Amino acid sequence: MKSRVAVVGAGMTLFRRRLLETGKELSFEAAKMALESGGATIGDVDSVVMGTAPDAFDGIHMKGEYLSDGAGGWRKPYTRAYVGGGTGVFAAVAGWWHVASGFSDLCLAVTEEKMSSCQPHPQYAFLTIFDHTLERPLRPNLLWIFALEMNRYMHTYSIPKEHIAMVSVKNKGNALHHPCSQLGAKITVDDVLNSEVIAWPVQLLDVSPTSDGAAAILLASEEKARELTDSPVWLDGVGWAIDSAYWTNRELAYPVYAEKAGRMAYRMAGITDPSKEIDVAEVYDPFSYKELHHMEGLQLCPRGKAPGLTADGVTQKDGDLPVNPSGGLLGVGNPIAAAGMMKVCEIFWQLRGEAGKRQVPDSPEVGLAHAWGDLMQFSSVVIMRR
Amino acid sequence: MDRVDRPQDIKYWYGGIDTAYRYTVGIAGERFFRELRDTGKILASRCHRCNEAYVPPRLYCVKCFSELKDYEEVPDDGWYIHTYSTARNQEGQRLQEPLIWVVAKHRHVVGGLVHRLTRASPVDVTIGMRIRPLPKEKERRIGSILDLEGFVPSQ
Ligand SMILES: [Zn+2]
Repeated sequence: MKSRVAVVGAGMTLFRRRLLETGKELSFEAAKMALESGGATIGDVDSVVMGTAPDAFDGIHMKGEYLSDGAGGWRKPYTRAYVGGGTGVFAAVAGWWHVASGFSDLCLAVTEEKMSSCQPHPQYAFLTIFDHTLERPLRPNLLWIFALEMNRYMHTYSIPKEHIAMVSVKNKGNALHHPCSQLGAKITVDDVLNSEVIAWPVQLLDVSPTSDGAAAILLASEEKARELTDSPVWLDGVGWAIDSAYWTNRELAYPVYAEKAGRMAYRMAGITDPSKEIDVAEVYDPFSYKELHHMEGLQLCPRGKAPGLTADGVTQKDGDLPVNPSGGLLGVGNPIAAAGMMKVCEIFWQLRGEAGKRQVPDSPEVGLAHAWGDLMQFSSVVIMRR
Repeated sequence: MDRVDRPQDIKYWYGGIDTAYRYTVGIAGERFFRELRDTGKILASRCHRCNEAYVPPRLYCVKCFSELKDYEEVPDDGWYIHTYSTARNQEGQRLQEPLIWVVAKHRHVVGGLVHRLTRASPVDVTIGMRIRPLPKEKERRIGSILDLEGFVPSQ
């Protein structure tokens, strides 16, 4: 039988458009904070997982190896976990199996992205993720791919753009209280609806920024966790799944990959009704509509209902199901792999009652963190419990 | 950690990763692109076990993992818009005419193609609208996805 796994420490750097630190230095800062918050030193750590997304951002081929010493991997079992935008939460999943298998007592999972290196804009790196023969000759832009998905989603459930805009308003507002945030702001639905149209229906304020940053957690076996802290946060469920890379094959209105990953994690954590049992959720929100799309895939509400719940205030920090109290990628920033791990960190702080002004009320007990990536086809989910 | 408000204060070094590639189109891709170039038709590959045809064609069925050996022509009739997007910019350049991108699906096959919609105005485009592929004239076709001008409204 696998052993129970706890998160005992978390740390993250500022998320900014461009930071002075190299990727290694960012990794070091986040890793050091996670170790210190967990009351451990690098000598106590018996394995390291590094989560970092496409090499093309940092501009270093095989950057997992390059970043290894900054992440504390020197002369240790070290693994890079890489599933595109899903990497941040997947690094926590990979850390989980290092410990759950009995292999490690203490595993450090570090995530990093330094997107500012990519010139003239990281957007160009995304061109190379598409099929070289069927799609790349058309010069696909990542934003219009999401515009295609968003339009299908809006059409299928007759969703007003105003309801989607409320996600940006909420998340950027929540991020005002996050000490690391890049784009916390008080904005209105009209600001979103009047912002530049990038590729209809995606507008400028529907999109998260590109960022530099790092985040890390420290995972421990049950015995080690009890030794280190009185308030471990248990990683009771993990799930991940991938859909076809032929993205034109899918019904774009509904993220099946998120449902598969969510159900796997719920089963493991013994959760039968996620909409009632999850007290706080960090759902991947690189675009405003994706928070809603993913809430539905994750069974946090019925299909097509997430926009209405958002309009009714249910997902506000003090609502029945707070979603992205951190401020999400839209508000805190989106250094790809680090952004997913930031969500795991946020649930850790929320469940420990350490989220400061972002703290959701009523002492939440169960939280979910989710990330999404590859060619819009992958999801990773963790369920955390105090 | 410093909060850096002035990017020009950061020391930097310019560099690149200069690599070029020559990609093969693959076994199913050869069939697809040869057919498109020579006849202007779109091919699907069929899984007899799942009784489904896939576009773009592929060597294997993702569901039952059979090797697919049979190819068939996808009729020009039956294509429709699964979703679309319009943009006035591409790669930072402002365009005279907005681009319309569609995910084109077909009633009788699984899958679809992403491509441009041409000979249509953005205001007239709707999800579900019937469309058909428009190949370039034969002498301009080279065995590329760009052998299609794109899709056009059926009417
Ligand atoms: Zn089959």
